Amino acid sequence: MILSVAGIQFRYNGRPVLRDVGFELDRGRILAVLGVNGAGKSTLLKCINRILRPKRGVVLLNGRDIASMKGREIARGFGYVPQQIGPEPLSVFDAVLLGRKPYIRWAMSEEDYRIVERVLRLMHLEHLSLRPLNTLSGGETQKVLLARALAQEPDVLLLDEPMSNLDPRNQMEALRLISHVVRDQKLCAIISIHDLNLALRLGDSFLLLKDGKVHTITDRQGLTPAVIRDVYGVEVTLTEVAGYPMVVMKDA
Amino acid sequence: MAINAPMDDAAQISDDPAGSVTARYTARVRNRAWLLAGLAGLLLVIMVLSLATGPYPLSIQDLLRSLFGFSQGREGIVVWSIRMPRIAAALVSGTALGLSGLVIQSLLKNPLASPFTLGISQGAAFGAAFAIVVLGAGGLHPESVSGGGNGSTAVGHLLSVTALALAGAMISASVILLLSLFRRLAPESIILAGVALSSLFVSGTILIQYFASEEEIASVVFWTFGDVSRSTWPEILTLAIATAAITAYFVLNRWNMNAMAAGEEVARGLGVGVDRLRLSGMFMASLAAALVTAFHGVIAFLGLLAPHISRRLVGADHRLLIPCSCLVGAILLLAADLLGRCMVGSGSLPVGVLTSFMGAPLFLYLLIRGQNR
Repeated sequence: MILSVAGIQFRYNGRPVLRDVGFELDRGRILAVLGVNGAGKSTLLKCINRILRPKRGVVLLNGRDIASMKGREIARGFGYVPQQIGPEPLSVFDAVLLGRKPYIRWAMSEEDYRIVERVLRLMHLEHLSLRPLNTLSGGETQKVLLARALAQEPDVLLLDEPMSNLDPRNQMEALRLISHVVRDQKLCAIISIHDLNLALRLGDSFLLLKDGKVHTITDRQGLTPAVIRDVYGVEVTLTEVAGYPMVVMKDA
Repeated sequence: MAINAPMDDAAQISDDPAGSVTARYTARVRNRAWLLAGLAGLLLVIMVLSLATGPYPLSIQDLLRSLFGFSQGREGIVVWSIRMPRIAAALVSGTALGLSGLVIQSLLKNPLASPFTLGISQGAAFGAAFAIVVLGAGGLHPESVSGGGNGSTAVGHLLSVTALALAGAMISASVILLLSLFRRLAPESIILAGVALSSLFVSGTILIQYFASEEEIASVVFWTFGDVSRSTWPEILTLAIATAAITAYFVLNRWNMNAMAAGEEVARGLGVGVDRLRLSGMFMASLAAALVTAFHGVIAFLGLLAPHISRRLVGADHRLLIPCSCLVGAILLLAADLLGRCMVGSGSLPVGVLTSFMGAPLFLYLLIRGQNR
C-alpha cells in the first residue's frame, strides 16, 4: 500500500463538492477517476496533495499523514499535472527543471540536471528544450507538464485530464508513456479522465464519482453498463474490438 | 528512481551525445550571464559619462583626481556634492523600480502592471505630501523649507514621510491584490482599477496643496514628476540598504518566482507557499516603490519598461531576470537623467518627464498587441 485516502470532504463557497471520498492504491497501479463534468474529479486530485485544503479527511503516503509534512516534502511525494495552463513563458528546460524545486536548497546540482536530461529524452523533448513553452502545441505542452511531474520523482502522479487536448497519435503516446512509467518506476497514478475508452485502456481500477460521493470503486469487470448508466445517465454497451475493451453509446 | 527509456524507444533516441541537452542549456545560461556583465559595463560607462557631463567643465584628469579624493577644490565639490548624489540616486531608484515592476508583473501575472500603472507610486506620493503638509513633517530638502533639516528632526522627517508614503503605496497594492485574488479580474481590468486609484491619489495630492504654504507647495509639486536632482546622502543610503535587502529577498525566492510563472496550482504542487509569497512579495515591491517615490517623486513607467526589456534580453528565468531588471532599470534612469541634463542645461528637467516619453508608447504597444503576449 502506498496511498490511502479516507473521508475527504471539500466545500466550495459553502457548497459541498466532495463528501467522504476515500480509496487505497498500490504501487504500479493506475486509478482512473470518472464522473460527469463538475462531479469533483479535479477537486479530488487537488485535495490529495493539498493544493486545496480539504475540510476533513486524511491522506496517508507510505503510512505518513501528509498533513504533518512540509510543502516541499509533499511535493517530493506527489507530481501534479494540471488540466490546463496559461501561456507559460519559461523555456521547456526551465519548466522541467522546476520539477527539481522540492529538492533544492540554493542551486541545482549535477544530479538535478542529469534527471532533467533523462526525462527530456524519455519524453522525446530534446529538440524543444530551449523553446519557450508558450510557443509549443497543445500535445507538446502536455508532454512537458508530464515531464516536470516525472522530474519531481514522485511516488504518486496526479494527472488531471492528461489527454483531453491531444490528437489520437499523441493520446496513444501519452497512454504508453504513463503506463510504462507507472509500471517501470513502481509509482501509482490517479488520473481524472472523461473519455471512457481511454480510461478503459489506461486504468487498472476505476473510481466513479457522483454528486461528490464515491459511487463505485471497481476493477474492469465491475465497470458494467448499469454502473455507467447510473453515473453518466447514458445507455451503453460494452464490447471488445480487436482485443481492446470498448464502450459504445446507444441512442437514448 | 532512475528514469529509463522504454526498450523500443532506446534505439530511436536522437544521436545527441549524453548530457548534450544540459550542455546546450547551460551554454545559453552562461551567454546570458555574460550579457548581464555587459549591461553592468554599460551602466558603468553611463555613470562616468554622467559624472563628466554638466555646466561645469571637467577633464578626465580632474574627474579622476576628485573621484579619488585628491582634489579639495571646486572640482571635488562638483563631483561629490552635486553630480555624485544625483547619479547615486538615479542608480538606486532605477534598480528599485526595475525590481519592483518585475516582481509585481510576475506575482500578478500581468504584463501591464507596474508601481506606476497600478497607482502604487501615486499612493506613495500622496502619503508623502500628506506627511509634509498635514502632519507638518517639513520638506525632505532643507533648502526648500525654512528652518528644516538639522540632526534628529531631519531623521524624524525622513521617517514620517517614508512611513506615510509606504502607507499610501500599500493602500493601492492591497486594493489591487484583493481585486486580482478575489474578483479574478482580467489584467486589463486590473489596470483600470490602477487608473482609478492613481487619479484618486493625484487629486488628493492636489487638494492638499490648497492647505500648504509656498515652501510646502514647492516640495509637493516635485512629486508629480519624479526628479533625482535633489537627493541627500541619508536618503540615498536608506534607499540603497532597503533595495539591497529587497533584492536579496527576491534572489532567495528566484525558484519560487519561476514556479509562479508556471501557474498558481503548479507552484502549490511544487511546495511553494503561494499566498505568503504573493503577500510578502507585493509588500516588498510596494516598499521599494514607496521609498523611491518618497524621496524622488513619481518616476513614471520605469517599472514597466525595465522588466519588458529584460524579458527580451534574458527570457523568463528569474535567476537572470531579477539582476537584469535591476540593471536595466538603473541604466534607463541614469540615461534618461543624462539626456535630460543635455537637453536642458540647468539640469532642472525632471527625469520623470523623460521616462514618461519612453514608457507611454510601450504601454500602448502592449495594449495593442493584446492577446499575443
